[in-house]
Amino acid sequence: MPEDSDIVKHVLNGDVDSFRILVERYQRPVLSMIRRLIWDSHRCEEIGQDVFVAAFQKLSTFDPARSQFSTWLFTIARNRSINALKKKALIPVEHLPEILDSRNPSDEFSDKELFAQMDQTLKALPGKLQRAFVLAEFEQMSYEEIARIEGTRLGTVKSRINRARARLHAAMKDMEGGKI
Amino acid sequence: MNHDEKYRAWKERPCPMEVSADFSTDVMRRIYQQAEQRQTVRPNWFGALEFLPRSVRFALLAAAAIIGLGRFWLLFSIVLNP
Repeated sequence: MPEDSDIVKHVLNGDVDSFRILVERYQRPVLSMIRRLIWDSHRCEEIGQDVFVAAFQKLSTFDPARSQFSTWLFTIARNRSINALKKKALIPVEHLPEILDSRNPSDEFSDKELFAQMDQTLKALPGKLQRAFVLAEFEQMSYEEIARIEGTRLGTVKSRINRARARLHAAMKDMEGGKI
Repeated sequence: MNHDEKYRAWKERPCPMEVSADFSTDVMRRIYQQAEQRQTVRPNWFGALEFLPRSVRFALLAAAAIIGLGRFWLLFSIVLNP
């Protein structure tokens, strides 16, 4: 399987078709990340397309010595998601993405409610905390990668993730205790 | 389930990500469209100014301004004539 940086070289040398390999390699993680960040499954493909088109346009600015292609691409996806969030009005709760729960059906109803409230709590977190949490916990990115994507220091990323976790744990405890 | 288990269950829920079969085709179509548009765009002659030194650019700007204002010499001569 060709390395990302080799494909980038091919594309920059005029082999535009090779870019399709990168699209197919990263379409799923990029769309998954956008969906988690903007909470709108209907628009994530449209934004995802914009991300890849923008990546193609800016490809000559990608420097393999500074970061991996995936980190660079996720940075574009992060910026596009933030722009999309700025433009879009608040989404009603019923339009939040449906996420499957494959566990015991007897627990499903109460847990579904709890999970929906947790989603709301996550969505209500400040954008910086929310993004750091999503990238670390859902997209399984390393703290170093997140720091590069967010353009901040490693310690700041750790702090944001810890604050997000603490708030989510506290919210869950409140929900379990019936305070919400 | 205790608190931590519930938290983990929430975090680790499967999140099905359906990517339409045409996604990469649509992206590549947009890329080719843009590449075509770029090729058909007429050359911008003012872009050549960027390669000139700043002093030459200012001189050209001043000359253009004088030529432009010169077209109104009759008007100026009437207004400014004491």
